[in-house]
Amino acid sequence: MHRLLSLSLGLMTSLAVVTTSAHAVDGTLTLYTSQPNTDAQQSIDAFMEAYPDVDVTFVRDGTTKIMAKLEAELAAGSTPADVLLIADSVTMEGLKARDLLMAHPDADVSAYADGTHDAEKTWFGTKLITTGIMYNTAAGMKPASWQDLLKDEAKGQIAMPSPLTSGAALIHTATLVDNLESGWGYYEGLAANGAQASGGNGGVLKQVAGGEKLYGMVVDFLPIREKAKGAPVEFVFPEEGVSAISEPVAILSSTQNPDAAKAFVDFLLSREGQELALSQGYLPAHPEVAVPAGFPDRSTIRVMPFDAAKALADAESNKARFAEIFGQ
Amino acid sequence: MTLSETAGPRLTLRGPAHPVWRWREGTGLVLLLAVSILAFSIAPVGRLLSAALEGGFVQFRAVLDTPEVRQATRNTLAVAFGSGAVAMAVGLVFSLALAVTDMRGRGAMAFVMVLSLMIAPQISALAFKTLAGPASPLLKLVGLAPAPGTPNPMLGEFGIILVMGLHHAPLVAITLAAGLSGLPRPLVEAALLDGAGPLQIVRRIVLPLLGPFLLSAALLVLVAGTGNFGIPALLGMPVGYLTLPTLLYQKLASFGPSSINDAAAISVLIAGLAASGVIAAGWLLARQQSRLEADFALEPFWRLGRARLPVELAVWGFIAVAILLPLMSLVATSLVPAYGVRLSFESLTFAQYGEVLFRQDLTVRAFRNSMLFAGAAAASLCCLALVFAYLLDRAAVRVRTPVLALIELPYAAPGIVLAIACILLFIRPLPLLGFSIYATPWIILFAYHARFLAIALKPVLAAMATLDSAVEEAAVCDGARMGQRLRFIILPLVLPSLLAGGLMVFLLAFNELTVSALLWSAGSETLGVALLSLEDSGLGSEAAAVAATASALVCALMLAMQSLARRLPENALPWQALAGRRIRENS
Repeated sequence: MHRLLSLSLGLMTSLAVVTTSAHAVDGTLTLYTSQPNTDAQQSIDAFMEAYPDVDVTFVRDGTTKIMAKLEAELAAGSTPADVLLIADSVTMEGLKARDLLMAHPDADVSAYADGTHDAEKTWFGTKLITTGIMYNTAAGMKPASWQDLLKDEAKGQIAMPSPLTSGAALIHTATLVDNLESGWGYYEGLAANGAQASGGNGGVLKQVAGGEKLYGMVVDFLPIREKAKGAPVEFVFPEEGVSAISEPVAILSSTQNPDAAKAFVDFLLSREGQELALSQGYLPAHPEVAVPAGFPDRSTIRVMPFDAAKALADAESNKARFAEIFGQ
Repeated sequence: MTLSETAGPRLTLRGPAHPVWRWREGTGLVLLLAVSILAFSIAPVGRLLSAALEGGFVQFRAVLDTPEVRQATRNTLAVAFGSGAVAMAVGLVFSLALAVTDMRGRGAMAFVMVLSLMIAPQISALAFKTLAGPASPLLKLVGLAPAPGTPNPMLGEFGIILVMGLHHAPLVAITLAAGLSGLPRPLVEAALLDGAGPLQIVRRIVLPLLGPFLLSAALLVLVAGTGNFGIPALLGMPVGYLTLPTLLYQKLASFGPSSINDAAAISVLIAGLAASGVIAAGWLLARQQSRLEADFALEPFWRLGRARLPVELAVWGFIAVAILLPLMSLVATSLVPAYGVRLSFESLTFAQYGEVLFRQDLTVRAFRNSMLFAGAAAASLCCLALVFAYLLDRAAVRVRTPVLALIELPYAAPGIVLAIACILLFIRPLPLLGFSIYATPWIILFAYHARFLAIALKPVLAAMATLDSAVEEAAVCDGARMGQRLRFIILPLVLPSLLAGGLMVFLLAFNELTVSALLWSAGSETLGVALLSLEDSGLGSEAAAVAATASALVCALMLAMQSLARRLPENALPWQALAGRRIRENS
């Protein structure tokens, strides 16, 4: 009996080995992402070092735009995308509601706080990316509050991303409108102060670093990283708080290569993947991974509360309202 | 970008005096021609119109009658007319200087001028953008950069008009050069004998005779300005200054397929604006047509004497500021580690080139794709052009004229309009076949075929028209079949024109952004798309590195064409036509 048991155990083990090798991680994988091109390439290269048999390509555009591309492809019948790594979880919730995402029940999220990932494990936050204020070091007024952007010193000197391109900007808009007393009045004030809204965060960085504008609303890691390279910029976390997104990753249910897709998700959530994000200058979602140089401690960053369900419901009307205020 | 072949008053095509044997064969090829026209011209236009008018005329008007569309229409007209005026002024002065004066180095001047046209508009825009403003590496280098907080003058209406005007000036110059070379020399010589000064001759004889060409050049740049996407995309979109093509792009890129019918309506508006220009040109030209017999073509008659050196210096000075300086600025921008950093020996880095040429999948792929798409389109269009030119050459005028007009349509229409038409055609799976080429590289190749067939066809058609049919008749008598005649008799005779057309297609497709901006998908990004993506990511130095490399490739290709010049028919290269004639030794 004993021998029989050990025999069958042995058989099971060898069967298990066979099953794993049948699920070898290889083939091709297409990533749709809103990360800056260089960062996306670095993430892919690090993943491919760990999984040399997988060939990963990526497509990059602002979250709003890449979603529009995805929609067009779905309308045409199919999309080449396997994995999404985009700005915000609100968009992910929208996709999940339409059954477009594949759950990854085995993902190890033990280190992460609840709320940074979907309870049903369809999407997983990978970072904490806040939107605050950047300024060119030549600027006279050093902003400390969102209200400072309404001052005369900032007249005609503000650049900000448009929700028509950027997912971060869409969440940021929803958060500010909910949290600031003046609501949409704040954005109307910005428009009246000559603020210019267009494109993505990269464009804002370029304009402020180049000195064409003095102030910008922008995601934290861009100016903090460029400052380290010598660009004349500073980033501030305004006193009212910042808005935050988590740059979630998710697998599309239409993927032809779920094993590689899951491996990619696991890689981003692993300690190694989180250290990579740290080295790129992002605030990693993993609470035990350090904070990049130039960032304050996690506990001192004040994130404004934000209603995801409302933001999802209001996404289209928020975009339209924003476009109307800024004449787009 | 229409070059010499399309410029100027229409060629009067000779009528058919063809023997009957020509119609007894080649049914398969005629079928190919018919299918191509159906696929490349009739289907896209038809689908676009039906989508635009799907919701009825009321819906169509509702889409167009919004503040944003009205504003974008105003902007489009301002940009088209403003840049048209700049292009006309620069192009006229330039072409006159090259055609009537005895400046030295006219060949080189013309080459650089055409180079500036052959560099993609989005690259010109990027170059000028880096030239001015507080971040300009060149201005910073000499300590002349304006203080931070000063807006970049190149962003917005002024910059778009300036850059587009300079970019389209060679178009005007080439068109006018065609007219100038056709002016009869005896008229000028007679005036000289009567003691008229050169300035008088230019004012009283040359300019009036150039009238129709001035008109056609003006309309050409108006149409090009209306449809241009690359320049307002880089210089207008960042500051919220939208023209109709960029508004269309933004709508489609941000709101997805749900906005496709709105997009169709807007693109019909753009096409309408452009078409009204073309129709007006046709009408005015038809009224003004007075053909001159130029047995003795115009030669430079303005001896500058002591003024020659200063004039030459002035022309080179202009070229340096308007064309070379922006390119230098582009290179300087590609060498700094981060946008806004001051260029110095310590900060100088080639890291961006390593990044975009070897490391980043996207840009490496974009270089490969643009080469591949442009090469494939050029090769296959050369084959089609040979066959179609042969068929059209022997067709009756009443068949040929409408067929040529249909082939011209997708090229004359703004690129963004063609792109929308292609999306509409292919977003659903093809009937009967059941699969979709949307979101594959094939849709881009299809669009390139539709767009550039006219470019490949025209030089071959012109060469075919000069062939003596006796040679072919002799081959017929010897029993050569049509395929044999095409290969062994016609092909060698028209080969140079075929190659010139093919290379032009390659250059235009290689530089192209407007069509692929809307049609790219994962894996089929073109250079233009990669450039926009890098700009949007805020990677200004990397974008500059891509742009500088692409410009160097274009320049190398043009030099290669130049080295082939002796084997090509006279004036097959646009800058040769622009450089004017050599002065005869004895006069």
